[in-house]
Amino acid sequence: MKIALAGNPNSGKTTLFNAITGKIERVGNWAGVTISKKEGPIKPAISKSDSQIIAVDLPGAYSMSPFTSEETITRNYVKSAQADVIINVVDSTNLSRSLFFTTQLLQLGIPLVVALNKTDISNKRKTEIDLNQLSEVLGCPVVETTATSGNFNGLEALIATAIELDGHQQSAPFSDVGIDLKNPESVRSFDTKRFDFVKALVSRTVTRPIESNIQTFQDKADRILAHKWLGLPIFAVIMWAVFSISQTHVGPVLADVFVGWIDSLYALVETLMGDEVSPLLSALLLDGIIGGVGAVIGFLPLIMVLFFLLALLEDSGYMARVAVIMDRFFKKVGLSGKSIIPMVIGTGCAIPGIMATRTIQNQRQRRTTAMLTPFIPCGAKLPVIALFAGVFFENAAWVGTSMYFAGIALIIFGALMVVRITGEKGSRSFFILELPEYRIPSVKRAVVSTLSRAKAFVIKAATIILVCNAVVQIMQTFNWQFEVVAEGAADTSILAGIATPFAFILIPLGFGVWQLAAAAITGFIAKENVVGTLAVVYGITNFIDTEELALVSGGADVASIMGLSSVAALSYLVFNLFTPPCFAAIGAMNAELENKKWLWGGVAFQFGVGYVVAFMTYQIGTLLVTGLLGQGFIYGLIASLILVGILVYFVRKGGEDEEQKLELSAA
Amino acid sequence: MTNIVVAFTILVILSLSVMRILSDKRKGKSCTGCAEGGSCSTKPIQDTGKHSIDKRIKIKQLT
Amino acid sequence: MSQSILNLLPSKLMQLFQACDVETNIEGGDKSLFEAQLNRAYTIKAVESTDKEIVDFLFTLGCYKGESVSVISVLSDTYVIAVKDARYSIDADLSKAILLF
Repeated sequence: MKIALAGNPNSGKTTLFNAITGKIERVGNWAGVTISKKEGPIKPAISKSDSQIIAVDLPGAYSMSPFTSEETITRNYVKSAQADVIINVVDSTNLSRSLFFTTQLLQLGIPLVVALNKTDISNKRKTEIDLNQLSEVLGCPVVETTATSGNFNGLEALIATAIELDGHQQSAPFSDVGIDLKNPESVRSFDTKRFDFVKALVSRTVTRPIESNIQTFQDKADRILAHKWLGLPIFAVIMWAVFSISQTHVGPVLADVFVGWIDSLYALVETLMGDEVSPLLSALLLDGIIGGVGAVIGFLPLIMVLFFLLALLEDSGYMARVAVIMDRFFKKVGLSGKSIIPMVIGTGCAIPGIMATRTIQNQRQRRTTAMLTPFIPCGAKLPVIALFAGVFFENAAWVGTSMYFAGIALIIFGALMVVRITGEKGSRSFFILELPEYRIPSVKRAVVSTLSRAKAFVIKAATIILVCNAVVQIMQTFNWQFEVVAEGAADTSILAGIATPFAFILIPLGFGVWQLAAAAITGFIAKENVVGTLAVVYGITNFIDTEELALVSGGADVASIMGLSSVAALSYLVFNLFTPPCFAAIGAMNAELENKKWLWGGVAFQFGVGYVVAFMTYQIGTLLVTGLLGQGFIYGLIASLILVGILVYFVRKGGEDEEQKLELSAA
Repeated sequence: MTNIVVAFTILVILSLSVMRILSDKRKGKSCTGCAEGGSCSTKPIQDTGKHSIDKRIKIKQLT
Repeated sequence: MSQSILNLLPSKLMQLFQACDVETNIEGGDKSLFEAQLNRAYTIKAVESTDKEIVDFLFTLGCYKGESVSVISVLSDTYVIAVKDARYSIDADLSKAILLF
C-alpha cells in the first residue's frame, strides 16, 4: 500500500514524512526544499500494521496546473494513480489558499485524508477550525496534526485514518463536469468558482481573531533583516558569528579532544606492530590509512558545530529573507532571487544544490545558476577551509566568512559574464517567493540533521578518502620502475612524476610544488582529499593541535613543513575552493545543463576563475606583505591575461550577437 | 609473520572500503556516504523547459 | 580587513560594471500595486502581463480579479504582499502587473 503526501510548499510534508518514516530528508523553513519524490516505509510503531506501508513524499505544489518542474513531478505522480491513498498536508494557518489544491486532488478519485498541519501555530493564534463541518463539506476525513512535535502530534490517528480509507470511494465536493477544458477562459472562470467555493467554506468553518494582513512583529523584523542596505551586512555578521563559534571557539576545543583519541589509536597500532614489520607496510597502515583518514576525521567536531548552526539558521526562516536581499543583486546580473535557494542547499553539498536549480523557470538563469552554484563552499570544502584557517590564520573566523562572500562575489561576476556572453541582457524575469514565518529553530531537528551529516562524513572518510590516501601513499613510495624510492629522493616517485608538470603551472600562484599539486588533483575526486593527501605527502597526522605537533617534530610547525607563506596558503585555499568542484558535482552539472557547450564552458570558466583569483591573491598579497612581487609573476600574468582575453572575446561576441538579434527584431 | 598479519589487515580494510563504494554505486548514489539521503541519484526530469499555454490546457484537460 | 573588502565586493562589482536594467512594459493609467499605500486592503482589478505563466501562477496563489491584497512593506526593491493569509515577496516589476481598483 502506498500513501502519497501532497500539499502546498512549506506546509510540512517532508517534516511529516520524516516523522512517520524515521528518515532524515532535508527540511527547511522555506518553500521548495523538496525537489524530487522520496519514498520510505512507515514505522510500524506508527502504522500499527503488519503489512508494509510506503509513504511517498512529493514536492510542494499550489495547484494541479504546474508552474515549476517540481509541481510537474507532483501532478504526474498523483495523476498516474500510483498512490492508494493521498494525505493532503494542509497548512492550517492558510486554509483559504491550501484548500484550492485539496478540491483539485479530491477530483482524482483517490481516497484522500486532509492532515491539518501546523495546528500548534493556528492554536497559538486562537484560530478555531470547525473540523466536522470541514470534513463534511469536503467529503473526506480531516485530522489535526503537528508534524514538528514529538508526541500528541496526531500522526498515528492520521495514518490509521489513511489505512482505513484504502479502497473507499469519496465523492468530490466540486467537479468540472460540463466544463470546456480546452478553453482557457472557461477553465479560468471555473477555477475562480473553485476559489469562491473555498472562500465560502473557510468563512463558515474558520474563525480567526487576528486578521492575517495586519502588521506583525515579524513584519518589523523583516524590515530590518531584509533591509536594502542593512540586509547584507547583517547576513555577513551572522555568517561571521557562525564561523566564529565553529572555527574559533567551540569547534577547536572539541576537535582537540577528538584528535587526541585519533593520535592514541595511531600510537596503539604503532606499538602493536612493533619493529619487525616492514617499513613499507607500517607506513601504508600508519601514515596512509590511519594518518590520512585521521587528519580528515579530525575536523569532524568542528564541522558538526558548523552544520548545527547552519541547520538552526535554515529552520528559522531567515534563508528566505536572504533570498530577498540577494534578489536585488542577482537581478542586476540577470539571475533571479530564486538562484539563492540552490546556493543555500549547495552549502551542504553542491550536487543537490545544482539539482535544485530545477525550480528556476528561465532556462538561461537555470543554467547559469547550475554552473555557478559550485562557487559556494560545500560541506566537503569545510575541512580544507578549517585546515588553512587553523594552520596559517590562528582559527580566525574571517577566513571562512570571506570564502563564502568571495563565492557570492564570484557568482555575481560569473552571472554578469554569462549574461553578456549569451547576449540576453534585455530578458526579464519575475521574482516571487513565499515568505515563511520566523520560528524558534528546533534544537532537536538540528541535532538529528547534524548527526546524519556527521555519519555521512565518517563514511566518506572511511571509504573514498581512505582508498585515495592508500593509493597516494603507494604512489609516493614507489618510482616508475616499481622500486622503493630512496630516502631524500621523493621527487622520483610516481606521484611526484604525475604532479610535477601541474606544479609548474602553479608556480605563479605561490604553490608550485608537486605535493600541493597532487593534493589539488586528488581534490577532484572529493574535496576532503586535499586534507588527506596533504597529511600523507607531508607525513602530518594532526592538523588541529599544531602546537603539540611542533613539539613532536622538533620545532618545525605545519606551516614550515608545507613551506608556504600565509599569503601563498590563502592563495592555495582560494584555488581549491573556486576551481571546478568534484567529479560527481561536474556530473550533476552535466545532467542539469543538458548541453555540452554550457558544461565545458562552465568547467573552463571555473578553472579560469580559480587560477586568476589565486594568482591575484598571491601576487597582490605578497606585494602588500613584502613589497616585492611573488615568484613567476610574468608567466602568471601572461596566463591570466590570456584567460581574461578569452573571456572578453566571448563577451564581445555575445554583445555583437545580441545587437544583431535586436536589429533583426527591429527590422 | 607480523608482516602477513599487517598486510592482511590492510587488505581487509581496503576491500571493505571498496566494497562499500561499489555497493553505493550500484544503488545509484553519486557519492559514497551521501549526507542528503542519496536523493541525487534520481534521474533528471525531461520536462524542464517553459511550458506553452497549449501544454497547460492539455494539463487542465487531464485534471 | 580583508573581510570587509570582500563584503563590499558585490556592490562594488555593481558599480564597476554597467548594470543591465530590466525594462518594464506595463503602461497605462491604471493604479497598480506598485503605487499602493502600505497596510491598506485593495481589491485586484486585473493581473496583466505578457508572461501568461506568471498570471496563471499568481492565480493559483489566490491573486486574481476581485481578491483582496495588501502591501505589508517595501524592502530593497521588493514588495512584501499579503494574499489569502500568506506573505509573498515579489519584485517591483511584478507589482506593476497587479492592477487595483
